[in-house]
Amino acid sequence: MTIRLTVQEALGDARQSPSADFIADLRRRHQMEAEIDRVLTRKMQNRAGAAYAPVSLERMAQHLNDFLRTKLDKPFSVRDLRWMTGGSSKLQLCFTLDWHGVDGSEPPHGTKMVLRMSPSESIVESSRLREFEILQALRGTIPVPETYWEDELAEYFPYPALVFAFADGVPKPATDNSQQVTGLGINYGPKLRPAVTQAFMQDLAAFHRPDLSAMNLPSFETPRIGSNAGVLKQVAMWRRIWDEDHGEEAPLIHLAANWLEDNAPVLDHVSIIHGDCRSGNFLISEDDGSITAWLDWELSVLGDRHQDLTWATSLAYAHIAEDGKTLLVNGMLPLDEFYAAYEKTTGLSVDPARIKYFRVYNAWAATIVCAATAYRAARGGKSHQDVVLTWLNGIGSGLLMEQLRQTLLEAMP
Amino acid sequence: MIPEIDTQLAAVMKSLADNVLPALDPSNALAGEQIQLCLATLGLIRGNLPLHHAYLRRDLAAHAELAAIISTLAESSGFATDFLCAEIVQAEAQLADPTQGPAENEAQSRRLKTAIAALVNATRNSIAARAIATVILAAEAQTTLRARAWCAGMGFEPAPQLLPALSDLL
Repeated sequence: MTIRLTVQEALGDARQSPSADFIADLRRRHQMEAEIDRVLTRKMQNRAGAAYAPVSLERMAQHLNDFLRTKLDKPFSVRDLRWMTGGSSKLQLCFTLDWHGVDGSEPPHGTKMVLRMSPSESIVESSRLREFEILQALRGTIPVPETYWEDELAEYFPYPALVFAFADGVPKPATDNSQQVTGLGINYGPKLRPAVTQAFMQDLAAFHRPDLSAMNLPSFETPRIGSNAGVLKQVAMWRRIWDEDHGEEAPLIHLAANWLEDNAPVLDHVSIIHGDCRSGNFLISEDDGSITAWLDWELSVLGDRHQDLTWATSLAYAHIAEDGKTLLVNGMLPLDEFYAAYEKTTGLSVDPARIKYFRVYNAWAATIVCAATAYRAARGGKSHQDVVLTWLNGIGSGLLMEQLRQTLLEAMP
Repeated sequence: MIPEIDTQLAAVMKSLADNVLPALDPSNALAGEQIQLCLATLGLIRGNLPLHHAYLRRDLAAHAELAAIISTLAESSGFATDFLCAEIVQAEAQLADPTQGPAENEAQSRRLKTAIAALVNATRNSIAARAIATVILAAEAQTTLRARAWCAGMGFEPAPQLLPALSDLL
């Protein structure tokens, strides 16, 4: 007799309702940084729980006021609270806080702020605590929003949260009429491009050569120079995310994972890695092309600078210049000139072998995000952007998987 | 006659576009974004639905063929592949059975891919590993091409005119 089954029934989808043993086995098999293990474990423990439900502005206002009462001694008031649109990962509201500053010593004034929260699951699972620490650590080194408070354990907000100042600037000029290779790159235009490029390189020099001894980053592990243990922990993280989230297996993912483990390079210098380092993740001034704020540090780690370099020079963020033929990576420079400018500005070398490695790593991680995590979050109704996630799932299954295949073909002898 | 799925989808899209979209508060940017995404997604589903069964059958057949090749390579290096062979046999039985629908074929395809992934990891660093990787890298070119053709309507392909029609790949 033929038995009719739904796919989930046929497979008894362990990932949709993970048991404690399933979660424990994942943690045992994949060793990674402690804070990352904690957020991934939380995700799995909550997976079979309620789907995402919209939270009203009235309720958010109540949460915000309750939270601020624990942080501020002087009188304050919240106004102009509204949801921000855009993005597939985080829930964000902006509001104006009329207050006397963090320590109550300032004259009354209004500060526009952002409340950033992680929904139940999203396209990237990350720690608001790590994001808080890295933003605080980078203040004074490069332009980042002033970051005030975190509620990683969601004691006051419905989801883990971060509060920081609203940053001035734009991600792209109003005149962007690019001929992007994909839809994601930004064309800064010939007038602003040199200044944006110079500012970008100078800021990379600052956070790729950080003074870690002066920074307080208790949630981050510092990888050892001369060892490849740091990058192997990152590979383990993405292997675990694949194991937790995929709807179906993909042989290419395992070929890539094995190659990445077998070819993991040793670290020569510890950099702060943004983790999503590209045009669009920093704001600029349209007046002079200066960078006004670096955003979206949720994937940041301490590690190898080539991870950021290969991400920024991905074809996804490139476009053709005004001459109709020159490819500008990250909307800035031709590839070889980009690397030369980086070396000159930072004093750090660009190693072709590690460029090759991190091209595979980034192609693999991007595929996991879209082919697996986007699927799983939408499947469970866990985010405020499930429809967007189904589109990202489509990109992951096709375009990104093909990019991974081609990157592996180039990398494997 | 039961309602046609295509007609239902078309009716839903038309109602959303004609009746719901114009009534939205223009200051609610999120609602406006979401309804446009929903309409676009329904359009994609409507376009692909007629090929869904054929797509999943092709995917199952392609991975059964791949599994058979890598199973032979693994066996020649001394690996036991009973678990993979069992899934290949089941896949072939399902492909020969017209009562098996998309859900059953997708489930078997997933079991097959799980077994293929297990073989990749089991044969890692063996003599057969390189040959298995070569076969997979070549075979998956067609898998990704089918997936890209399926998702072509999403508008992310840099040169969509170069993609074959999905029906030609099935």
